[in-house]
Amino acid sequence: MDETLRKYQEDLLRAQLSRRRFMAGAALATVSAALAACAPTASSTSTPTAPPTPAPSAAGAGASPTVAASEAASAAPSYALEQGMLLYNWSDYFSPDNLTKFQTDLGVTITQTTFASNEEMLAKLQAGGKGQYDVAVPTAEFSETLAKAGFLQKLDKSRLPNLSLVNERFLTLPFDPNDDYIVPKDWGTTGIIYRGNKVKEPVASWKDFFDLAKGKYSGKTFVLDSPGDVFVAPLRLHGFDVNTTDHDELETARQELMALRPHLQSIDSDNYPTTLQQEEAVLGLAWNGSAYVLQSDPSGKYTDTGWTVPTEGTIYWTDTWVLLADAPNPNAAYAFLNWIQDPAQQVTESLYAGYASCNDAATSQLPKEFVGNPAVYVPEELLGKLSVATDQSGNQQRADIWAEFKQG
Amino acid sequence: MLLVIPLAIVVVYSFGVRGTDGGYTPAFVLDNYDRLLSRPDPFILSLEIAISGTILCVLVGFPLAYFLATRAGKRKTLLLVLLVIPFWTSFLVRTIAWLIILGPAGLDGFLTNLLGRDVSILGSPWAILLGIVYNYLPLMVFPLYVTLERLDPTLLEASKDLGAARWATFRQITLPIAAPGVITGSILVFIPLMGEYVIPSILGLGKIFLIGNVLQLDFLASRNWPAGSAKAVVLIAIMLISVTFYVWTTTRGRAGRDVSVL
Amino acid sequence: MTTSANPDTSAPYHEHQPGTIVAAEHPATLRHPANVHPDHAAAPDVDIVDVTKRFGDVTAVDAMRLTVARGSFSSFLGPSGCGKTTTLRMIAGFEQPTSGEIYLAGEPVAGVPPYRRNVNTVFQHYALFPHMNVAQNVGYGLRQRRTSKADEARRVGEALELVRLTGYGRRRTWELSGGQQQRVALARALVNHPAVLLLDEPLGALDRKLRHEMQIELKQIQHEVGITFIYVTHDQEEALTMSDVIVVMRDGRIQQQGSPEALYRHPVNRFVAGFIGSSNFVAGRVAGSADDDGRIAVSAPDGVTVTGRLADGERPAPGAEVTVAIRPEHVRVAAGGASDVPGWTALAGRVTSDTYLGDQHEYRVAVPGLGELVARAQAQGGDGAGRAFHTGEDVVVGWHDTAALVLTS
Ligand SMILES: Nc1ncnc2c1ncn2[C@@H]1O[C@H](COP(=O)(O)OP(=O)(O)OP(=O)(O)O)[C@@H](O)[C@H]1O
Ligand SMILES: [Mg+2]
Repeated sequence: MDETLRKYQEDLLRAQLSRRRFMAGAALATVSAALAACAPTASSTSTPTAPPTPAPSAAGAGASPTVAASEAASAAPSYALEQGMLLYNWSDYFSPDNLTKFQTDLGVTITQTTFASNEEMLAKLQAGGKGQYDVAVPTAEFSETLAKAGFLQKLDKSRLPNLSLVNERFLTLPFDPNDDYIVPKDWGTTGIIYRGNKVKEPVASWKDFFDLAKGKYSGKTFVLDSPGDVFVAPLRLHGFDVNTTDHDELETARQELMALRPHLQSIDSDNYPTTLQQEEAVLGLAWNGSAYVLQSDPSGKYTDTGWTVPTEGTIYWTDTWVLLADAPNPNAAYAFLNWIQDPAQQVTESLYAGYASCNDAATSQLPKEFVGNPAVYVPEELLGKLSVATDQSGNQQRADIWAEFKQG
Repeated sequence: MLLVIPLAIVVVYSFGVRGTDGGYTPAFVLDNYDRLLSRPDPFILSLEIAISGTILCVLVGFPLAYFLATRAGKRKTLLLVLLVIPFWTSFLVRTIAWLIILGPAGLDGFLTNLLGRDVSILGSPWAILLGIVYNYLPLMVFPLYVTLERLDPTLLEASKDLGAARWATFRQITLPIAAPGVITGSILVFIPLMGEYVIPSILGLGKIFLIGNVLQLDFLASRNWPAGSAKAVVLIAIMLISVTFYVWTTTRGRAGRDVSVL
Repeated sequence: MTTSANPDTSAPYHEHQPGTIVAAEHPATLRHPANVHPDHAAAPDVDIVDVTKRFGDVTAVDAMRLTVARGSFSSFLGPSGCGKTTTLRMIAGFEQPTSGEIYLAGEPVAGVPPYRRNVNTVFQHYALFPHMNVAQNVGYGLRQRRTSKADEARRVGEALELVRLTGYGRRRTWELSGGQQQRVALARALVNHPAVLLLDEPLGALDRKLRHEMQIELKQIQHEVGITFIYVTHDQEEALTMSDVIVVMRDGRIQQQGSPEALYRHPVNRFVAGFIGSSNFVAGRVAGSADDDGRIAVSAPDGVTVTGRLADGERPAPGAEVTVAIRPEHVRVAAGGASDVPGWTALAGRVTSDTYLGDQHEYRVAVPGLGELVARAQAQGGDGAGRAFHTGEDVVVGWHDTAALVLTS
């Protein structure tokens, strides 16, 4: 295996417990709903903002983004960079190498503060945190809440030329139709996780999941404690839109879920990696990051962990960088938002966090095992089956179904 | 005032409807209560767990506090500190620790091997009760300890001198004098227990659904403040009624002939 | 216990001390059947046989032998830490003797718990139950015996009447004065008609005046109910005024037991003489042999010789160290030089202080070789010594030989 990859995997493990994907679900169910709710239904039809491939190789490969920035700036007024930049982030969700590199490249020192949930971040901002940070990392869906509450600055895209490197899939999301506020960070999916040394049957679809869970792996199956993710399975199983509000379709979903319920070992978003390690559960509906974490465990005991993006289709989520209102260091922040999209940084970032980059140029530079791992990157043929979940938390029928499901 | 205003807001909200982006839109509807009445199970389960958890805390806490107050001697301070030390770590960490103790690598696995069939305490109400007793015990022990500590031992001798044997003395002297401690401890345990949702989420493996979980879903996941408010109002009412009832039944007998909280 | 007293018991009975008063008639009110069994009237209520109690290295009670007669008022008197409370607690059953045996109404009670002994205690700090009112406190013992409600009410009423607290039944105990609380504690114990009532410094927490009133009242009540009282105090005056028998203790050992008068008149050693009333002590050596009345000469330092009387049976060898104890009221003061009067010891001295005490004069007289002697004389008349003396005056002090006690220990 590639040396750098190994190094990153070690980082990844060290950070496993605090890694945001788990803590996110842990802290509040909302977050998981939010995770699910991150993507543009419009993306398939919208015109690409920028062609993914050509630009990056030029800008990437160590070419200083400062140059790119100053070139872009040459047409416009030039900006004096501040000494520091304040980043408000999930814990272990920003590569320390990039932090050092930003200092080297641009002479700006990043100071990081962490939060455990979107809500915590919002609460901090509301409680006098406005003006205390420059850049934050909300889930795409949550950036809408932040923008509405006036905590975000509209981006001046002329200062972010590297945005052209972002794949269109992650732009014009329903939460920010004009890309006024968000710079995509990385992305992932909700799907099926399993322990390959126990589950020998093929696991390719939601149908397989339901059959195995109610059959051979009854009592050994878990689902996330997150309605936004769990509804995807029965809805896609029957070919319904993941965001449906149709009464009959939801009723069908209810019946599927209630039939599944007695067979579940747990409904849990926090501890399921341990559950899988101990083989207390061997099959589950989960987030992809955890599959990659298990596979990369240095003990090598969990390399059999499998990840399936179900053939019926599923949802994907995006995390984003946003520029906060009243940012004390706006110039450094702009420089950062542009710099971080550079493929070199994207590669570092992806390997550190274990998530797919939103930047195609970076993808092409990442190790083959990484990109070829379905637990990180969705296989080409299934890309078309992905959709973005919108916020369905106001749907009373769904709320009732979820309550009934939880109650068992 | 500080207590009444938030309460009044909750009551007002409980008759409203959810806004399109969540939160609250003023209205006067009874839907929220209607829906709640058709789904009383989490309330019943919460009450059951809170009551049995409180009783368990009394049953475990009383002997412990009694021992600490009367028998522990010089080790008293040390034992009190030991009792509190786990509480220097976070609630979450403590509860997750129990996940490991009870889990397949712990008790469940041991019992499964021992009995030769699948045993799963984890995910059952027993695991939750265990987590509750562990996490809430100090809240029970401290008020009890304080009252028992102040109990004059010559009162117990006087009782024996007047013809009451050990148990009679305990029932007629120790217990009634410790009653304020039992009441305080029970209220301290019962009230937060009614709203508990972390322990059921973790040790119940997400399959035990209490009012705390319902409120969490309503307020945070669905952002349906009115629905959550209605449940909160009912929860507060249940707590007020049960606490009043409890205090009333336990203090009523004190003026009577035979004093007892049992 | 009392009712089942076995006449054939192996418990050794000890001779009653002089001055012991056997139970008087019981009043109708608090009569306890057990107390009037005619055939047991002579059996002692409490018999302590060779009892020793050790707490680790401390010997709190050392080889105690004591018999307390039925219906008597006995007091344990002694300095702090001498083992009074420990003895009481062994009788009540809160402590077990390390060795020896205690008999209650003739029965050995080793291992019998307090709640099965027909003995009640009035605690020093009353130990009233704070969660019960006065009547509930008093009725507590009756309820343990499953007395009917009506009976309980009646007997509680009687007991409260006895301690003059009628009408206080519904009061909370902490609303009462110290003296009233004391009486509640007394009623709570008496209502059970115990064979023996143990009182551990029951008046210790009261002020002087109230104390005095309660002493009289307690004594009266004891007379009325005829129950055996064992009373602990370290106040000699209290012991003298109330007791039929005083047991003087020191370091866990009984020094002397007897009626107040016997103890006053015939203390067996310097400790008792000093503890009961006050005395002048003169140390010296036996200078001759005793005559038929027990009179003996003792040579004190500086060639002074004094005479005193030996206690019955004492025959110290010549030269043995002894102490002569003389009560201040037996020391006479007269004007003029020393003169030999047969049967009297007379010594020259000088008045160093004179204090008028209202009905008495107290003089301190310095006598060469003996130090200061204290003398107390009636202020008026008496036996011709009516005149007052003043500080600095040369006087003669003396005593009748029989008034001075020669103590061998
Ligand atoms: N539970 C005990 N443990 C150890 N030593 C004790 C205990 N109870 C009494 N003693 C010791 O036994 C001795 C006698 O104590 P006791 O209480 O009988 O004295 P007392 O005559 O009642 O004194 P006081 O007048 O001060 O009440 C003391 O030296 C005391 O320290
Ligand atoms: Mg004492």
